[in-house]
Amino acid sequence: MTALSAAAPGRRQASTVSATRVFDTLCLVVVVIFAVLWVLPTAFAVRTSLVENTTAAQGATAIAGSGDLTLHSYLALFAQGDVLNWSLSSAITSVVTVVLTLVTASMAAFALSRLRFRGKRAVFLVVLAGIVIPGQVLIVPWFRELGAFGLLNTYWAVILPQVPSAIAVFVFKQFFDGLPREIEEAAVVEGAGPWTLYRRIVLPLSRPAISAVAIFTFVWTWNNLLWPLIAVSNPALMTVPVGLATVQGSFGERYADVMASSILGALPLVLLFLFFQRRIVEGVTSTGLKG
Amino acid sequence: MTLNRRQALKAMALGGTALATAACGSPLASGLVATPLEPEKVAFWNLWSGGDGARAQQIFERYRTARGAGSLEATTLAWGSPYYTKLSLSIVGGRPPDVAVCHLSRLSNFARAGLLTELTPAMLRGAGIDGAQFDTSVWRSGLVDGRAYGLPVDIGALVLYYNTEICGRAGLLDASGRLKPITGEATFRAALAATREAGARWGLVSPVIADPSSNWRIFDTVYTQMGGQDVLGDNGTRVTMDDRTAAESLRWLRELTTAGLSPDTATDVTSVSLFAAGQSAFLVHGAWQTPTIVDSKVPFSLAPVPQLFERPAVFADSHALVFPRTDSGDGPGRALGFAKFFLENTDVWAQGGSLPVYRPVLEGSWFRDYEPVASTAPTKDIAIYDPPAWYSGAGSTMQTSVGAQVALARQGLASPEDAVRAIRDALTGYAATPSPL
Amino acid sequence: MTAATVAPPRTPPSTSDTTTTPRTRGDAAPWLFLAPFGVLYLLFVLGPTAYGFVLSFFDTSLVRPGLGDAVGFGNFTALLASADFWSSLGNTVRFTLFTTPVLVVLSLVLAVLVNRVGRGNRVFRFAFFLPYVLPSATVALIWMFILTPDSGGLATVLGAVGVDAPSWLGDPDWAMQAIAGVTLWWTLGFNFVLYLAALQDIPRELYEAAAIDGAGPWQQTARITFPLLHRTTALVTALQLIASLKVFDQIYLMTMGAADTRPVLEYVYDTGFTDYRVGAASAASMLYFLLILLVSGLWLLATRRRDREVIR
Repeated sequence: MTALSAAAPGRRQASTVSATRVFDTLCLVVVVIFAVLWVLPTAFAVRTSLVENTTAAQGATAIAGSGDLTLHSYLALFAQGDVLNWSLSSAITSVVTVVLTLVTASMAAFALSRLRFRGKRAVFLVVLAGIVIPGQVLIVPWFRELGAFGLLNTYWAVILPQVPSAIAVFVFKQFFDGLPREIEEAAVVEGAGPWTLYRRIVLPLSRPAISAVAIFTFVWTWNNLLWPLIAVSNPALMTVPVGLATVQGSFGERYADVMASSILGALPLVLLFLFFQRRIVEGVTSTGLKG
Repeated sequence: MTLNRRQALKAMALGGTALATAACGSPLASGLVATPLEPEKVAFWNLWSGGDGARAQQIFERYRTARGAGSLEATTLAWGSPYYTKLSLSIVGGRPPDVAVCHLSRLSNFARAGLLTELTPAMLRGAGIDGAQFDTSVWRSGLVDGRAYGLPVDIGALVLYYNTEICGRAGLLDASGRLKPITGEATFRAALAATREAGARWGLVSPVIADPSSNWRIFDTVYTQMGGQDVLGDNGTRVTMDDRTAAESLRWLRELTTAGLSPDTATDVTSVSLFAAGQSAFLVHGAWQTPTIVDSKVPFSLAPVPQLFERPAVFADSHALVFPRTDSGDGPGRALGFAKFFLENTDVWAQGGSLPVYRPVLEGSWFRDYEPVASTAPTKDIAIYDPPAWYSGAGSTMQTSVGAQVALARQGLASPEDAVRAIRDALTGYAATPSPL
Repeated sequence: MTAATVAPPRTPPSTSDTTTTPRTRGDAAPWLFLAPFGVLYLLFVLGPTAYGFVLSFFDTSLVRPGLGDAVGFGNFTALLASADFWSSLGNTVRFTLFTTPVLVVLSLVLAVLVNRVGRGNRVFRFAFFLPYVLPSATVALIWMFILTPDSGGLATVLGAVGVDAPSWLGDPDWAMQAIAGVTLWWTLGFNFVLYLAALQDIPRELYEAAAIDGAGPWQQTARITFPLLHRTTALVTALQLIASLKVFDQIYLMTMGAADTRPVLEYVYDTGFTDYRVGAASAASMLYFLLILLVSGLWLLATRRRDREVIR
C-alpha cells in the first residue's frame, strides 16, 4: 500500500539503500514468523476436525502425522443440528441488534449533530456517560427487568439490552460532524425537513460509518458470552458461544467433534470477515475510531 | 359458489392453523414470540457427558421407540456449577425443562429455594411409583422435611478400577482373577509399587488438574477414612473441619506423587485415557467412567475403594429426577411417565457403572450377574455424601473452593498446612453468609 | 420497524428557513429523532444502573420474589472483608497488567512492520485479524486442546526441544499467563487494524523528505511514525485497558476461575446466579463499576495533561 521502499531511491546514498534493504528483509522475516504463529493454532484446530476421533485422542503428534482426511465430525454435527440452531439464533440476534443499533444510534446522532434544540449539550453528556457504563455491570438488573417483562428465554432478551450503544451514537456523531454543511444547505433551501435530510442526504454519505458500526456490532453481538449465557437457558435458542460453552453434544473424548463444532460455529463470522475485510479498515479509518 | 367459498375459507383456515402449529414448535417462533417449544415433547435436561451419557442415550432411544420419535428432547449440559446455574435460571426465567437430573446433594437446596414441584403421594400413585420401590436409605436422603421432590436413580461412588493384566503380573490377583482385598495404606502403596515393578508407567492415576470436584471427592474419602468429621456442621453455618487430619490427608496424597507412584498432571479426561491406554495399573474415579473404559478394550475390573485408614468410607452421590416448578400449575404428568420409564430401564444404566437404586432392577437377576458393577455394591453402605449447606453439593462452591486447594497441595504448589488454612478461610466466609434460600 | 419509528418526523416540512440547519427550534423533531435510542437507553442503561444501585443495599435473592430486606451497607462491608472478592479484583487487575502493555506494543510493532513491508498486506491482515472474529468458546476449545498437559500441541512442541511443560491451566503460577497469552493471540488483530488504519494516513512525503535528509529506516520510524501514532496509541491503550478489565469469557471457559484466575466479573456471575445472592452481586458490580470509572478518570487526566486535543 504505502510502499515505503519505493521512496525516491535514486537520490539516496548507497549505504542507506543497502541498510534499507537489510532492514526491510528483516521486517519481512519477523512479520512472517508472527503470521505463521498466528495462523498455526487455527490450522491445527481445522486439521484436528478432519481426523477420526480416535486419532485426535492420541494427542498432537498423532494428529499432525495422521493421514486421515474425513468430514465425519462435520456430518455428525449436521445430522444432530445443534450448531445449526445456535447459528440461527446468533444470526437473528446479531442481525436484529445491528439493524436496531444502526437506526437508533444514527437517528440520535443526527439530532445531536445536525439539529438545534434546547438541552442538546445536556443530552449529549448523558449519552457520553453511557460510554463508561459497561453492560457487564448491568447483568443482574437486566435479568430481573427482562424477567419482569416476561422476555427471558426469547431472542429479545439477548437483543434489547445490547441495542442502546452510546459508542455507536458517538461514532456516528463524530462522522456527521465531519460532513460538509454545504450539501444540506441546498436541500434545506428547497424545503426539505429533518427526516428527508437524514434519510436522503446524511445517511447515503455515511456508508463508512455505517459499515464500521455494523461490522463491529455484529462481531461483538455474535461473540458475546456473558449476557446471553444468563438470558437464554433453552438449548434451542442459545447463541453459538453459549451453546458451545454449555451444551455437550458428544460423549467422551471426541476432540475431532469438539473442534469441528467450534469451527462450524465460527464459520459465518469468518466468511463475513473475508467478504468485508477491506470495509473493516476503511470504516476504522474514516470514523475517527483510530483517534 | 357459496360452497366453493366456504371450502376455500376452510382450506385457508386449515392451512393457517397448520402453519401456525408448525411455526409454534420452531425455535424461531419461540425465540421471537415466546411460544412454547414443541409442547408435545418431554424436555429433559441432564449433565451426563461422560460414559454414562452414552448409556443414557440408549434409554432415550428405548423411550423414543416406545412413545414415538418426537416424544423426547434430551439435552446434555456441561457438568457441575454451569448446569445447576442454568437449571436455576431456566426455572426462575419461567421456561424450565419438564424433567431434569439433580444430584441428591443439591436436591434439598433446590427444593428449599422453591424451584421444584413437590411429588405428592397422589401424584406418585397416579404414575404407579412408590417410595418403597427404592433403596430405603437413598430414598430417605432424598426427602426434604419428609416430602419427596425427586426420584433417585442410582448411587455413583468413587471406585477403584484395576488393570487385570498388570495386576496379574504384579501378583495382586487371586485365583479367580479378582483383586485380592487391600487393607491399610502400607499394603496399598506396596501394591502400587509392585505394579510399577511389573512394568506399569504409573501405579495409580486420578484427576488432579482442572477438576476441583474430583479433588474434593478424593480428599473427602481419605480425610473421612482418617477419622475426620464432616467439614461443615449445623447446615453449613459452622466450619467443623479437623485441620490436622485434613493436612494429614493432603500430605498422604502428595506423597503418592513424590514417591513416583502417581502423576500430578492428569485431568479428568487424561486420567481416564492414561488408564485406558494401559499406562496405569489403577484408576480412582467415579464409577460412571466405566463405559469409556469398556470401550477402550483395556482389560480391567472394578473394586470398591479400599479401606486405607481407620474408618471405611467412600465419597458418593446420587442422581435424582426432579420436576421443575412451573407457573402454569400443571402437574408433571407426562414427565413422570418418562421418569418411571427411565427407572425401569436402569439396567442399562448399571452398565454405566453406577448402582441402580430402583429395587425391581437392583434385585433383578440380570443385574446381580453384572459382575464388575455388582462387586462395588458394598460401597453403598459406607457411602458419604456432602455435608448439608446452601453452598454444598455436586459442583458447588464448597466443592470448588476445597477442591482447588486440594489440587494445589497434590501438585506440591501449596503446603498441606497452607492449603488447609485456605480451605478454612474460604469456608468460614461462606458459613458466615446468610443463606439466600 | 424502521418505518413505524420514524414516521412522525415526516410532518409537513417547515417552510422558509433562514438558518442553514432545518428550522427545529421549539419543534418536536429532534426529540422524535432521539426517542427510539432514548427509550432503550433509559430502559436498558440508565434505569438498570439505578436499579442495580438500589439492589446493592438489599439482601435480594434470585429465588425469592421482591427486593428482600434492606441491609444498608452490609453487602459492601461483607465484600470488602471477603478474601474471595479481593482476589477476584486482583485477578482482573493482574490480567489487565499482563495483557494491556503487550497488546498495545506488539500490535503497534507488527502494524509498523507490515506497513513497512508493503507487500502481502492483505495476507498479514487476514492472519492477525482472523482470531478476533472467532467466538470466545471456539478460542477456548482450541487452546484448551493445545494446552492439554502431556499430549497437547504445546507440550509436544516443547517436549521436542527438551522442555518439560507445566500444566498451563492447572498451575496458579501459569494459568493467568496462559490465559493472557491466549488473549494476546485472540484480540491482537483489533489493535493491529486500528494501528494499520492510522499508519495509512501518514503522508508518504514525510518519509521521502526524511530519506532525502539521510534518515535510515530506523530513524524514519522513530522520528516520524511513532510520534504521529501517539494519539492512536492513547486510544488503543484506553480501549485495551477497558476491554481487559471486562475479562470474563476466556477465563470462565478455560478454568472456570480455578487456579487463581477468577476475575471480578465471574465473581459477580457466581454470586448472583450460582449462589442466588443478587443483592451482594449488585454491590460487587457497583464496586467493579467504581474501578472502571477510576481507570477511565485516571486515563482522562493522564492524557489531558499530555495532549488536550486527544479526548475533546
